[in-house]
Amino acid sequence: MAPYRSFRFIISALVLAAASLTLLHVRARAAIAQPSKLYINLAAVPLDKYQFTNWDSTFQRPYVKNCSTTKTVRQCIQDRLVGFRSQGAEGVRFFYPLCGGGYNTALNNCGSSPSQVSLNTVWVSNLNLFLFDMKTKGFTKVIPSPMFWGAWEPTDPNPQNPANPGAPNDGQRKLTVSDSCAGNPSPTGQVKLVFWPAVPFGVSGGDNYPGTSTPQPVGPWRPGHNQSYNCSPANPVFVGWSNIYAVSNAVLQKAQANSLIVDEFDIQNEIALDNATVYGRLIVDNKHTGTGNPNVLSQTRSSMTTYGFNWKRVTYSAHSANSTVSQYDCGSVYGDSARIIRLSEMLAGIGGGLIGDANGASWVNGLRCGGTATGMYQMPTYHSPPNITDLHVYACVEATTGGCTSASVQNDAKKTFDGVKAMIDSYGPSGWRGSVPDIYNSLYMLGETWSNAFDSSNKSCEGGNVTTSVATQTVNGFNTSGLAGRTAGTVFQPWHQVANWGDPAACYPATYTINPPYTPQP
Amino acid sequence: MQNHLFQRFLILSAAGILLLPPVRAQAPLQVSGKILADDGTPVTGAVLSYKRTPEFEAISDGLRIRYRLKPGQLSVDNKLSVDPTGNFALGGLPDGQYVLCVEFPEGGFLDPCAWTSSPGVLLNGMPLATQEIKVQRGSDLLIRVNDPDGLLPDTDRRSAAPNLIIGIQTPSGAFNAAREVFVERTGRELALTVPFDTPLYLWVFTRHYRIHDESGKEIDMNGAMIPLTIPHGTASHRAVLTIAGPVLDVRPF
Repeated sequence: MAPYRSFRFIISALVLAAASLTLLHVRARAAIAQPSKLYINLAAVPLDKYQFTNWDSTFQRPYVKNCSTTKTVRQCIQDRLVGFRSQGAEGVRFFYPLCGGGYNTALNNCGSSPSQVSLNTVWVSNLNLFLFDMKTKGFTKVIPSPMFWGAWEPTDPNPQNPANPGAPNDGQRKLTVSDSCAGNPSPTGQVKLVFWPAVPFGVSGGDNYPGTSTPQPVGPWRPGHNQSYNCSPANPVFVGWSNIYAVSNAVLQKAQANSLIVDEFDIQNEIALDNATVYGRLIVDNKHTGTGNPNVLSQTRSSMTTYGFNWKRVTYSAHSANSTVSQYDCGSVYGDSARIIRLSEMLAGIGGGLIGDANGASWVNGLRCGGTATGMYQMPTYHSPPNITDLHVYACVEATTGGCTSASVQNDAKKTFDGVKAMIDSYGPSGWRGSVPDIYNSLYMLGETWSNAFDSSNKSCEGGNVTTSVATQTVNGFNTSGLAGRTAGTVFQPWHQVANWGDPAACYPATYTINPPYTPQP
Repeated sequence: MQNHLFQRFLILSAAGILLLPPVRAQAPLQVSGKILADDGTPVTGAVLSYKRTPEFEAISDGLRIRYRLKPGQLSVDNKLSVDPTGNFALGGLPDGQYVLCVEFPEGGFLDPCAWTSSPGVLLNGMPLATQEIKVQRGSDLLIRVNDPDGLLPDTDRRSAAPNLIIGIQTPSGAFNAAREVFVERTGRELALTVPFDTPLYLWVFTRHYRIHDESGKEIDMNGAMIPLTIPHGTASHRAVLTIAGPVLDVRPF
């Protein structure tokens, strides 16, 4: 009996050892180079409905997809928090739409005059519960990101008269206004724009210029024009900066009250100053100066200090560009990789450098290459830089028709991460830009990346036509890049859309594995 | 002195013009135009920039919107020195919406893109578009910044300001920065052409320095707005600022 038991023990030990070795092998292969941390993106948490049963009777769907409709939204969120925390996530990024959308209405009466707009105390109370849940489930860090704008699902074709039953009265207006941006062919010099109440500029959805059959360019008005900071019309239904700051102060106060650290305050998700300099009004607003401190960055930094957080962690995230040719890169007008041009633009916008599109730049394989600074726009102020670098990377080879192909994610991720490292090094003691310690020693926040969640046909829940190894390839690309091993560290923050606003691609299961491959190493 | 300063500006600007392609009609001719002063006289020394507005498409996940360049976009962003009679001609361009701006390296006129509104041109397969652009005369504002202690740093201007931003702000909030035209150890000179008879503000922004105006009076920190209205016909105007020393307790944000 004893030899048999010994034999069984040895076999069991070998099996366990083999299993452990296998696990170690997998983790060693995929773990993110240290020092690294793992946070999770929850996108817009349905805070308006946080204590409701998980069923939207208007749209006939759950508020949180893939969660029981007998639970409350809060219970669904708690389940997700437990799932991600158990995989090593220690921070949460979330959006808070200011005027409706994604089941968040932080401000009441959006669309009215600023004096009639007020903080939604029910929303604040639910925010407090959400942050409390984060803390009690073991999270220590939080990254709030206001959403000034965004479409209600499905994209509302006529915001002035919402076509979707049950869509919130978020105050959107489509208005015809005078426009002084160059190139306007309207005989009246007017333009038709959508105004979200919390956005300090209008957005073109592609309507024709009034009185013409010429379509307006699509985007924040006016895209591709470096003077848009100056010439884009003011928002006639703007809620006012004081009201927006009331929301951000409430967020910071509740984070403090729940003993969470605001590790980053992302004022604008994926700012795109190259597309339109008018985004600069989210740094310093030049058109709504009577509605509160127009210096949005300074005011938010001041609020961070008030609530005991590091003001250098206030920044704007940016989105990396993918090329249509694997591993292709070129230099942008800034002298950085063109893959990270929006990061370069963002830092220039904060630092009082030049923003907008470079004169003579060329689109080469999907990237904005070269050009000269002539004609680029300089903002009226400068600020000290943040000590966090937040670049979103969904690396892939871009199809010439748009969207991702599955090829070469690892190599292209490495290319982009190397671009970030070169930019950071340019601010080092011997860097060509001169020493800026806050950027050189900044935490690298991979603020968004592939979720590692796929639908039944193995299509990424983010909609990219990529293979199921995309997350592993992203980690491997990072680990082989110059960013790996930086003392300042890295945070990986994969995407997870928790609210259900009807996007069919949003297929995120209640539980799935993000670690591995997103295995943090302190 | 004013003429001397502006001559330096002209030399620098002229060097830039030499790099521009000569005026030539490209086949097939698509845009024929003329740049005139607001009194109808032809303008010389203008540089026309023409930029095709890239077409973007909105990609939404239901909440967020990203703007992605439409596939197959052709990029056109060029400059052309206009002939002495103010005429220009463009050709060989892909269809699309174009923004036309007019720069004046020698000063004297306002770039309509920066100060008013420039007409664009739509190319949609039609044989020939004609375009007459009227530009307003302006005053050449020269700003001397004395920096006796050499406090202003050299920075890569694309990425950061040298701890000082100077320009003109209009009552509507539009801001146009003055361009550096000359840098020396003890100071630098900036230039900008500004409109006549318009209530403007000379905008001076720094967090790092105490700055005195010409009378020796210290100006406000964090965005001094010095009223400035230049009467019609004043060819040039000069302002002098002096960096009196560093701010010891720089406001961090």
